[in-house]
Amino acid sequence: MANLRDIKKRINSVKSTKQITRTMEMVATAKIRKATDRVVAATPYSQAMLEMLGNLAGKASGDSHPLLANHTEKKNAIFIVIASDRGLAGAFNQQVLRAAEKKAKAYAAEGIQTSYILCGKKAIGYFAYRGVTPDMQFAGLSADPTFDQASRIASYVRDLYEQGKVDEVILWYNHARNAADQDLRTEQILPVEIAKEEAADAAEAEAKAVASFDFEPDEAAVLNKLLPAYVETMVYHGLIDSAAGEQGARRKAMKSATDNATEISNTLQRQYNRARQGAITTELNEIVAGAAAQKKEE
Amino acid sequence: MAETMSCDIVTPVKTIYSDAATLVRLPGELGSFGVMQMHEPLVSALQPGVVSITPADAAKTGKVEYIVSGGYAQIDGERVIVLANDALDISEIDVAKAREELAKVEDIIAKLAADDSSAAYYKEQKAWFDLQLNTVKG
Repeated sequence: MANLRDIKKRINSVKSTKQITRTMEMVATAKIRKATDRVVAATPYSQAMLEMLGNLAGKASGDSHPLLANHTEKKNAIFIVIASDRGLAGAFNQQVLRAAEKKAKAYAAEGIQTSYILCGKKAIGYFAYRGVTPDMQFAGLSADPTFDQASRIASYVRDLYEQGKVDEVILWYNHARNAADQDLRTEQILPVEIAKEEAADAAEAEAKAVASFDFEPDEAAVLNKLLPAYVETMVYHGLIDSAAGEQGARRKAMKSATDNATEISNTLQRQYNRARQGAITTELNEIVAGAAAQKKEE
Repeated sequence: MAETMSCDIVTPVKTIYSDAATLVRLPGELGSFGVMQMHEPLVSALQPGVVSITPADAAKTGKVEYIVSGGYAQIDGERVIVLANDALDISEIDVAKAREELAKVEDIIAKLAADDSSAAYYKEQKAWFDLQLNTVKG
């Protein structure tokens, strides 16, 4: 049986770990609130934008704007991968990073080159280890993404797409389904798929079709401004959604770590008590045996 | 009293204004125009400028004015939605801060390579701060 001092040491170390994980759990819980509020605040804009795009959908076709056009040959793709700056969030980062890497390998087999835009230190580290130099990288912003960041990513991919240097842009991120669970989401950013958006909003689109809209100056001009902004909105939405997911994932991971620590420290405490009791019993036995031996001599 | 419609100004980050209004004046791409209830359905691109709103209770509060960095307005008779990347209450423009930011952005632009992919982004930033300063002077 391990000696008393060793067990005591282990109990103390588990307890201090538990304190840390419990604090992290509470901090994450507080941050979830803030991150979710941000998603809620951003929703009216993206919804209004989808609605507007839906109104335009009937009038737009593949050749009415370069960002809508499907490139006939798919040779180059950009993956925008959104992970977090800090770990200790369970499988949060691994999930998105592995999926993106797997897809890139599949693409490579088809002869499609993939380059990356990485958000979050964990993503940068993961791909740096694999010898990937990203086109763009953002560190230190995963918990508080800014719209500026989204604008810069969006304008970068838009330019390349319009110049024909890139044929597909895909966004990878964790969607915060609720405070506890995240889903991996993959969204095609470019070419923009309007038809799909419209389908998601079918009932509304139908109602709007009755009141058909006028466009000023004209459809093409509105489309021209709307599409780039739409790309920005998609990216921004991915960033804030992922930020909310990160806190959720961290809370969940830290909660189970705290629970585990409690369990281990209980087990160790029992071991400690048993060892102490054993020591006392041994000592008593020795005293009694000693006393008995003395009596015999008398 | 005139009939009211709902009016929202939203940016990607948050909703800036949301209230009932009787008249909304918008800086349309083809020129400034006013919108009242029952306006025909319209989507208009906006240029950077001033959105001026006459709220339903204008007698008490007076007109409300916001500058927007361009964007779009969707109008459907009962509702006006203004989508803009940036929007700011005119009374909240901070001249000193805008000047400072403008100087920063101009500095960056001066140093940028001609083919830098973020040039467009900084130009937009510059236009936004220019607009803030011009609005205050005007």
